[in-house]
Amino acid sequence: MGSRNKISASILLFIFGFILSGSVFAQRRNTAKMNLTCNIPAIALVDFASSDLRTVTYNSSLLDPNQVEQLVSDGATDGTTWINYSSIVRNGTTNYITAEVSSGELPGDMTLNLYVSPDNGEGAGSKGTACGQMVLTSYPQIIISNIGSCFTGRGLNRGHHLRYEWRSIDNENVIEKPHGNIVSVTYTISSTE
Amino acid sequence: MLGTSAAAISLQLTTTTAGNQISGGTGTGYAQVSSIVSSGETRTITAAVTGVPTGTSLSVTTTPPSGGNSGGVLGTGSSNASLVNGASAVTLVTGIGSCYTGAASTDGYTLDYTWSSALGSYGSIVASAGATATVVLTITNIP
Repeated sequence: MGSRNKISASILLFIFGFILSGSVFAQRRNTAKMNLTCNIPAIALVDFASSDLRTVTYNSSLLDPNQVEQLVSDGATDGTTWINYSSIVRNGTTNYITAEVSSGELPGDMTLNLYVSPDNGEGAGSKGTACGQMVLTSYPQIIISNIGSCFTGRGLNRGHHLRYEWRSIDNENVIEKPHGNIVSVTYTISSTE
Repeated sequence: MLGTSAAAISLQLTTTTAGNQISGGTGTGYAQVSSIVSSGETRTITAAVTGVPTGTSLSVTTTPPSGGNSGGVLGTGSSNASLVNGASAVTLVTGIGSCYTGAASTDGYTLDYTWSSALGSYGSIVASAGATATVVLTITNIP
């Protein structure tokens, strides 16, 4: 009698355990996972927007989307030119933009000054810090620094306004009369990486 | 019962135009279901996510199947449900009764993901390759 009860109890326990494990198994299959692989490539792109076709032209090479060139001719060039950029940086790095006189000869009795305004507030993210005013040379100089992940928006009144000014060599006088000098200025966006 | 394909869905945010915001993160997944309910009972599918990269946002539009492999009471889907890291699970499908979707990898509820850059936190975006966000889908009973 005693052993029959023990066997009955064992069978009951076994069946109960089986039912429990079955229901746990069903609960596990009530959830499923989907994995999404998320890629964000680093980018550094620069371009112009300009409404002054008389004095400036620009071209951007498809091979170098991080570099654009602007042709600057004589006289007061307060033509409307804006520099736009898009930037995505890796951890611990930033992008920056340099400017240099890339072709043509700077006359010996004049300087070419570039004025770069702060970002106009469109777009989003960590825009760069503008240099304010710079005397351009044939060596690249940083005109916008500390660019993080951001975009300025595209077109006029987006990004930083650029203005050129020819001055006498002593930087005293602004030269507004035509003097026939034409140079190209190249802007390049690069990473501190 | 709920199941999905093991293959990861690939999403990318980028631009090739200077001045523009990064964009373009779209991808589709499928969830297969077999369901038998008691009288008066319905089920829902909810979703919770982890691992969405900083400075970005994820949403999903869920559509019940209508093809020949499916049948029964498949419920109602939802549009642009926002999936936020660590937030409570959001409801994607309601009113699921007794139904089946088919078991092939492209059978079942369609989940169309939209991954985009967030303007308010754009400056916190960091370039990355192969980061994985995980969406956990759950089918639950509503007695």
